[in-house]
Amino acid sequence: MSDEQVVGETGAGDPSGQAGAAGDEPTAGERIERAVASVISGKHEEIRTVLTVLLAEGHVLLEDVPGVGKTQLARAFAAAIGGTVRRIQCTPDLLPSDITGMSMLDQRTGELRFQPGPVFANIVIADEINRASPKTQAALLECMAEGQVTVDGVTHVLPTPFLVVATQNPIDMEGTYALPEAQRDRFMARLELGYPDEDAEHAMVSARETAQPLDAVRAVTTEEQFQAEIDLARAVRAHELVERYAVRLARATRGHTDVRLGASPRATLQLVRAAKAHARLLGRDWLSPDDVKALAPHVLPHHLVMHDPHARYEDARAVVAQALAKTVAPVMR
Amino acid sequence: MSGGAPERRPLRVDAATPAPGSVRQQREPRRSRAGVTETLALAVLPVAWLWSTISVLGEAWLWAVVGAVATMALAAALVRAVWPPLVGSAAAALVGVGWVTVLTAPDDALLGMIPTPAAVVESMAVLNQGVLDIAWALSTPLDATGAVLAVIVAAAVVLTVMVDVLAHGLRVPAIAVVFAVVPLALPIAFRIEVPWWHALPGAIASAAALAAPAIDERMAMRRGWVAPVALVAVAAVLSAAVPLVAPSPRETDIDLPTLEELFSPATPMLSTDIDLGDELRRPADRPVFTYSTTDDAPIVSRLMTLPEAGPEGFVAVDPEPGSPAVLVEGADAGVPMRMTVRMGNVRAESLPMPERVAGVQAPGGSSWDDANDALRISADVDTRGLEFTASGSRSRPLESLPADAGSTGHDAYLAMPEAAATIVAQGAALVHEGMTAADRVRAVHGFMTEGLWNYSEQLDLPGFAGASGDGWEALAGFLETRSGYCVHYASATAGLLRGAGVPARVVVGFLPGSEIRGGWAVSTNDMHAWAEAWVDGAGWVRVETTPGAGTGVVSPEGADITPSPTPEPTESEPEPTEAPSAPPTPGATPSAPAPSETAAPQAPGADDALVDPALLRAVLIALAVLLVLALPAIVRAVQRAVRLRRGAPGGWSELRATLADLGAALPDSTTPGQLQAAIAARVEPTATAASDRVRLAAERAVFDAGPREPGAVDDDVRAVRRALAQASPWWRRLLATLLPPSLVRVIAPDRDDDGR
Repeated sequence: MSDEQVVGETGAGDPSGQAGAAGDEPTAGERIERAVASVISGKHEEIRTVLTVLLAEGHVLLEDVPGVGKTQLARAFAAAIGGTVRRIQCTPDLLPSDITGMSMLDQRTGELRFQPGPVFANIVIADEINRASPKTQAALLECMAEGQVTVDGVTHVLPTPFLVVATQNPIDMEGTYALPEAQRDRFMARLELGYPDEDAEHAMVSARETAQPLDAVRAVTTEEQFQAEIDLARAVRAHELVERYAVRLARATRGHTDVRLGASPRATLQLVRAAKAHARLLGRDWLSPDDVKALAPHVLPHHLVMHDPHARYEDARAVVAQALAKTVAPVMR
Repeated sequence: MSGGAPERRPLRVDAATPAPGSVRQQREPRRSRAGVTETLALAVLPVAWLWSTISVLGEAWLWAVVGAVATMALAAALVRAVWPPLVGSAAAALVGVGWVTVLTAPDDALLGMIPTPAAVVESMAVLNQGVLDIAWALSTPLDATGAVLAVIVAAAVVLTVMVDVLAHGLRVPAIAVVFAVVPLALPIAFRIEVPWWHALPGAIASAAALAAPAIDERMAMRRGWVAPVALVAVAAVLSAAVPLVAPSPRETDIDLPTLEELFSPATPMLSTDIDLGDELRRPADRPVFTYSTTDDAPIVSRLMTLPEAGPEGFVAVDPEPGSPAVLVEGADAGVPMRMTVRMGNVRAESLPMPERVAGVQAPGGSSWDDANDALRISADVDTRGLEFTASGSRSRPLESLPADAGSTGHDAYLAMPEAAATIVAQGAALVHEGMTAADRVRAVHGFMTEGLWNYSEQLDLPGFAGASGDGWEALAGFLETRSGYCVHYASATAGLLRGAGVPARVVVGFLPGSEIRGGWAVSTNDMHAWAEAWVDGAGWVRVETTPGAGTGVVSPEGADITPSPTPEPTESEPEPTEAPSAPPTPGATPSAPAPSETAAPQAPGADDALVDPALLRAVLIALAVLLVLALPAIVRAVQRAVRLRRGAPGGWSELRATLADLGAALPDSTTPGQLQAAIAARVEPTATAASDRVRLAAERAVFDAGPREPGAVDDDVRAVRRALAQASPWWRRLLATLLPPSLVRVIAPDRDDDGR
């Protein structure tokens, strides 16, 4: 249920990375973006968003119908970033210990030895997370929140960076356990990929005839490089005006009449962190209101709980769009 | 890893997060207390408006009042810092009472300022005395000392407390501003015209008090205060300038042409009817003509003669063309003189002449009307600038009328209608058989001038010379009330003369007017009517009975002729600016008013070096209009300069304002990136790059404490502004220049749809 990607190291002088930037060394973010874009065509905004969230040490929930490339995207990122990658294919009979690992009796020493599960990796791809039992979901999401695993009273710290890319399929409702709000809250962003446009789909078709492009993706950063990038993103300076703007945005969703539960303070926090990563990707070390505005449509909607039980994800997105349109942006004077 | 940090930080955010539910949390609640600017402006307000009374109260009170108001405001502010605002007002009142006590009853009060019952009684007495002193003042401005000063300070105290209660206690500063205008009522009560600049400090203080809350609020938000101040200033200037440009009908002398006038000569028509009230009550003087005389003395001029006593008063009869040797009978009996007339932009059925005209160089289109003794001018002749000379003589003084002469040969001028029987009887009662014509005239004149006669243009006798009613009975009423204007005096005099057996008629014309260089200027206010009596040997003699018009008018020198019958002393003072004004002949280049063939009235300088007042006024109004038109652009330019001095963020605000000027105001949820996108959608890539540089510098300055050097982005801002203007249609650019929308609104209203 888990497979390990072969991790190869490439030097900084990746020829594909140098092509675009004139003289400048492309940043780790740009290299990753290009590598992923070579696999998934025509989804630049989604790729950028996922990359932003990963840089902000957030977890991503990809949700869409089968076959639009959710898993492909997750794997491409895993391949491009480097580090250890594990993939968990969730099924109803998956047990919590199957993902966290368990203590096993070592025959030779006679001691209980901890056998780490697939979460002990830098990037964990959890496919079809809504098919796992609530118990298993809870275990995985606890790992995501805590960054550590406790088995038999012993706490095992997960490696850093630790990023979960979960996918789920909204169509197959039978035999699935929808993620409860509290657990959805732990994802920093939720994305729908949507169908590729005509050109992109044709490009994909013609490319797949010859080879699996995923195989061509080489890691363009190392684990340390990516961690360094994450640290830089975290070090982005945020002015009080911009932080307050993010807070106002979150509060605006709480006041909306259609919304039962607005964006949580955790969501606000995630918004600011994602915005910082966005600023870092754009090469800035300070936060602009535009970073917040760019990320809010991806980071906030899945935190909202609407009054209408049949409300769809789009309704939540509309609420966030209204909040964006109503919230006073910081004025530059 | 992300272990501890996310757990600690939500707690902090939680603490600052109230329960969800309130929809509009972003807006700050209204400020419940006045800020620094507002407090200062409100403190100045009472003094500034008291200043408008200096024409009555003088200026000696100023420092006492400033001291009282300043200490009151200070006390109120200090108390208000600790206790509720109304307690501050009470503190101000206490301090004010102290001031009044010091000025009124220092001997009876504790420490000179804490009132005791005895001091209160004394204070009231002094204040009472002061009020009486002001009310019975013999002359203004008053000497503001002693009791008067105490009253003024007491008034300032009351005013200050009132403003304090309204503005600070009840937080309705605008209403406080309205009440602060009360002192202006004092000069009005004294019927003293207040020069506009006396009210200027009050107006400025009021505007400042109105703008102050916005200034304070914006300064608290660290936003610029230029916009609210500019708005109030523009509003103040507009409200002052609009009456200049578009005055109310009563106060203007700009005659808006009627449809009829648009298709016919625009020259206003003077009525030569017996009812001159409309002309005399014209809100503003209208120049009619200028003249010069050979003997350098002013003269009364005749416009029309009303020979017939109709059923409702004296009227003109049908014109009867003729050209007798002496136009007005008896004109050759006096000392001959010549009068050169130059017409202004007002016309009548006939042209003005010397009161006893003997001959005239009749201008083209004119003809002598022998029935009415008037030089009629046909309607299709443009009389503007028309110049002509007439000869004639002045009336003799009544005292020098020939002693033994009778009044013969003019019996047509004795007829009176039945309705005038009362007046005829009154006239007959004034004389007795055997009196000479001169005696009869003097008797009637004596009756009309001795005793108390009142001049009033305002009280129209009901029915007299009006559309309805019996004019003669109304005239009899006038002889009872003895209050009316020249028309009544002239009609009554002529009626009495006829009753007394002296042929008489009414003449409509002009008083001599006001002196200008080289002559006299006559305006509609100089329109006049008088009676003429026929005395053998003397001809038609003027019998002037209107008070103020000068009974001595007939003296040859004309020395004691009053220039205007207007009773108000303020208006009779010739204003220095008006005195040298030339005839209102638009477009007239200076030309000698006296043609060479006439006996040169010394008026060569009458026109040169003089600016046509109509032209001047037109130019001034045009300038004012231009100024008003240019004002928004000027304010905008100042605003731009102020903004650019704030460095890149100011430059960015300026770009946003420019976009708003060009009709693309963006909502307040707009982030810099969206603004940049809006600019990029309009301009060339080079300008886009420039605006991106401004944006980056601005964002860095604001959100990352970056440098804020003024002038660093000026060139980029200019380039983007130019590019934005070029990308807009011409009418947008024009609008942005004349009425920049950004002065009112940079921010578009909230949108309810998706903001992106």
